[in-house]
Amino acid sequence: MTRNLESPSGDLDDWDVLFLARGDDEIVSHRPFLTGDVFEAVPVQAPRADPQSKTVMVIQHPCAMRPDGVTLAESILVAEVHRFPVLSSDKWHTNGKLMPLPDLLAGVTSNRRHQAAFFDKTYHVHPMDLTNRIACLSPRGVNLLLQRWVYHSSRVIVPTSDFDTAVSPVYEQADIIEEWCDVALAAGRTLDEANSDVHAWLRDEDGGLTRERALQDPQRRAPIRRQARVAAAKWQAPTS
Amino acid sequence: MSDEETSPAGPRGTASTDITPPPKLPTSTGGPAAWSELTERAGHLNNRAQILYNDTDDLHIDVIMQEWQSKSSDFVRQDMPTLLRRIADLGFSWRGIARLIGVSVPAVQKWRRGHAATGQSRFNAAAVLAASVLIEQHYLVQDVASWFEAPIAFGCPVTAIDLYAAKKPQLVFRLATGRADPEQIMSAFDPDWRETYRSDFEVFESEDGGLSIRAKDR
Repeated sequence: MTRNLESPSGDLDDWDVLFLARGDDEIVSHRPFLTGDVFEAVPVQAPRADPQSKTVMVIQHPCAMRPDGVTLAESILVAEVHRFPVLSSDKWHTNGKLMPLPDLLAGVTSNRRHQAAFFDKTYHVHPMDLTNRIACLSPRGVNLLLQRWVYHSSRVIVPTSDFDTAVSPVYEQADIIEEWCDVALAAGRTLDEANSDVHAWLRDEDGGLTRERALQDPQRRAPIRRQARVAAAKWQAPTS
Repeated sequence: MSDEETSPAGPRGTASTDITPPPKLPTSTGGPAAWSELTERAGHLNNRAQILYNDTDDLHIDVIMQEWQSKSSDFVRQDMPTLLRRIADLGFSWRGIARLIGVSVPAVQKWRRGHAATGQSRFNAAAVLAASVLIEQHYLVQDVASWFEAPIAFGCPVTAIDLYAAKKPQLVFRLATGRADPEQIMSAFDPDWRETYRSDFEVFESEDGGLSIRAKDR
């Protein structure tokens, strides 16, 4: 079977599967930044050009975003996001220089809600300038983004299922951090304290491996989630 | 104990009384024609056994589907936050829970915070919990969330969550019995699965401990 760039959901024009969250109602501010996050009003500067403010998407691999596994790199690779018509599912094998983002701007009723990230318009930005997150991709969205970005960069098509195997531990970790911080923040911990707690917990060894490393094994994820929920609950105020 | 409850062959209702044993193979048959007839009879018996097996297998799935409906109706009396907490306590991720219920992750997060859910969504959440409980109870599956996340066939990423999210719960229950051939389950899910999920690449742990992708050896 010839392998092409994949569509989000087979023959279906189902764009919701691309996104984890869109807009203020859905974005969780303390979710760790991850590949595929879209930010508005980011100061960027192209070579020999004046600074501008753009909407951008992070296209850097999760591991490259955090060289030590925790702290964001000082320079994050992003691609410009702007308006682009909807590509029906049977056309996703084309336009390898971009990542289509149909229905990105969910609150907009005009065709402006359909956007794309352009791999030929990239910038490096400082993470402190990524303040206004407007969308996070789902694992399916991240896998499709990585497939298209790798294809654009190297002309190699890697099945999204392989990206999923390689990236899902990072995604699992982001989910655990977000959920832990939900509980800890509600109980009065600061975001820095909550982040410090959860990273320490993830780096603790359990059964000879750090939990962070153990997340690479899909069969160990459910027990780690259960443990994380119990561990985070100690910050919860007792209910009367 | 009454006569109705026992029989010389053993307690009633066991396989020992319900199944006629196959005929014994004679030591001498009387020639090629007799062997041919025996072969025919053995083949016929085998066919009947296969049909009976398939019928009982279908019956078993039909019954558990009914029990699943019943248990879902029972669980739906619990409110949405309780249903979600019970499913999460099994170890599912919120993304997995959203897929199983058939909604977005933000919808699940809103329900957790007490926003109202539709009746259908509440029933769908109850059905996820009911399926998990029944699979643990009847098929002795330990750590049901991990079971839902385990690949069905070697080298293929499809899991029971994918089957359930594709609205094929019968396949999930068949898989849970442990009697079904995983490759048949996969073929029922996607006849082209071998090609669909074939890859020339493999994921490996690189020297920094991270997962990376490389071409497979040919």
